Amino acid sequence: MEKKQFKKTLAVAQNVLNECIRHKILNILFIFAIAIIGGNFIIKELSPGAEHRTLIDAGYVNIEIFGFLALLFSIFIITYEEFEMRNIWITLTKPISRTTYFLGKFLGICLILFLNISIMFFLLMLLALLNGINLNINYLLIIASIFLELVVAIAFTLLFTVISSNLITGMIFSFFLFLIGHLTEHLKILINKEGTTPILKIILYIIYYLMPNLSLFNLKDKVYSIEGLFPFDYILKILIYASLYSVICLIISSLVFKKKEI
Amino acid sequence: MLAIETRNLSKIYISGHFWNKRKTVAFKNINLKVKQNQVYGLLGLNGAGKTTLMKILLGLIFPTEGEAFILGKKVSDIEVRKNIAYLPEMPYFPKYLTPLEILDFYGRLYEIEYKKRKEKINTSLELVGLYNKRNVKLKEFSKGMLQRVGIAQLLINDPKLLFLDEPTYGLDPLATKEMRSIILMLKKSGKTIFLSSHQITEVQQICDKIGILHNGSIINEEKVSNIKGSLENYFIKKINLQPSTAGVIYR
Repeated sequence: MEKKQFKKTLAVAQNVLNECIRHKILNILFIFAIAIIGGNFIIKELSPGAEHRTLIDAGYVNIEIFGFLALLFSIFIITYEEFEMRNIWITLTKPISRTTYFLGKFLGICLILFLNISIMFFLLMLLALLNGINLNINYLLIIASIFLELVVAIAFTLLFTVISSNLITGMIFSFFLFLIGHLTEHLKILINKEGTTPILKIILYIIYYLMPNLSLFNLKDKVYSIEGLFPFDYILKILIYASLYSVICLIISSLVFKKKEI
Repeated sequence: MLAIETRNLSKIYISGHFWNKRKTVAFKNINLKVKQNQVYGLLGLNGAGKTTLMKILLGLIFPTEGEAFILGKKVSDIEVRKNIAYLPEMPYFPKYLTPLEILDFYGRLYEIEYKKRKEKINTSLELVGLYNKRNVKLKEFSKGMLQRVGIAQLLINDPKLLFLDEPTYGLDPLATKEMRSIILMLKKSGKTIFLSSHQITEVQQICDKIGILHNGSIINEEKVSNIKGSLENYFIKKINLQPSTAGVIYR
């Protein structure tokens, strides 16, 4: 990418970040803090003996959910202002290509997600330390995998907002894809099941490869079944998967956005 | 070199489903030529297609047929946009940003260096009387003040060609007067202005030439100095002569 284009991408990203912060997207962190700290007391009561594991598990699940909500709200706010309030009209008459603008928007939402997740992770780790949990590098890899998963979610949510004529419809599609994405692995069981007809197998395979496989990013369930660090090749695999899936979504979105009448 | 040129420009909107498609003609075969340093006023009734034409010239929507050129280059050429600026009808900006931030953002898109950008922003804000409000969030601004931010963003890149869509829409008489004097100042400085408006009296005071968009085509073009009497009467006379068919929906 040319240096000039990169600078413009950064300008858009910074603008998106500013807007989201001013729209109080980060307020979602307060709800997270209440959920995680409040949950900590309940966990102690409900799971004696396993409170450390439950605290960490519940913490990561909360980060995943609140991270997804943060990205959904951010995309909603930015896209609503762009199209419903038409502020994109002026921006796109400036010397910036639609692709550059779109990449900037993607980057800006990734930044807001990174900020959100970092703060939530810091809170969780603080709580873990206060509870005397021994921390290691795997906890950092788990949060990195959640971040990658949510970057994929940003990419497909942006794709839906571009291809659907209605913003709410795009958000609903994204929400369901996020849910289905966690169940993709179960499709394999169906595919391999005896009695599945060849036609159904083909259909299921197509769905399997089209849908994002978000269960790949679930390191938190695997952390107790391994000794030492997560294997490097697995981390590399999910990194490549997230990059490929996001890039494909962004290319399609960008091509559609180029032709979109504003 | 012409500031604006269109060749057989047509825009037909297609809606409905593939088994029940509907076509709405916004305009057909528009051949427009706007010279540089000219203030051109595009007149037309509501729904005549003025904004659609402007949006095609700005690359926001695409023509069904024909071509459009700005300062000798195709409208799809991003380089063209370095020399143009646009003020939409009722401009809207991200409400949680300040005028300083939004102008800085636009300045960065124009690749203006930091120091020069700062200078330009301050000058533009002073000109529209918003320098003291540069750090106030836009959500606290009235319609008139937002319009002024809109004007400030027009001036950042020192454009050769300005597109103004209903620049005085929704403004009170005082703000309208201010807006008019800014447009006249821009005209004096040699800018080419392409303006669409319902305010015919205003168009007469500002424009060098007018074009009337009606029934999907430019039915008349005339130098304002050649129009005897009021432009309003002239406009009504021209419109009445044409049977209305624009925007007719047919299958």
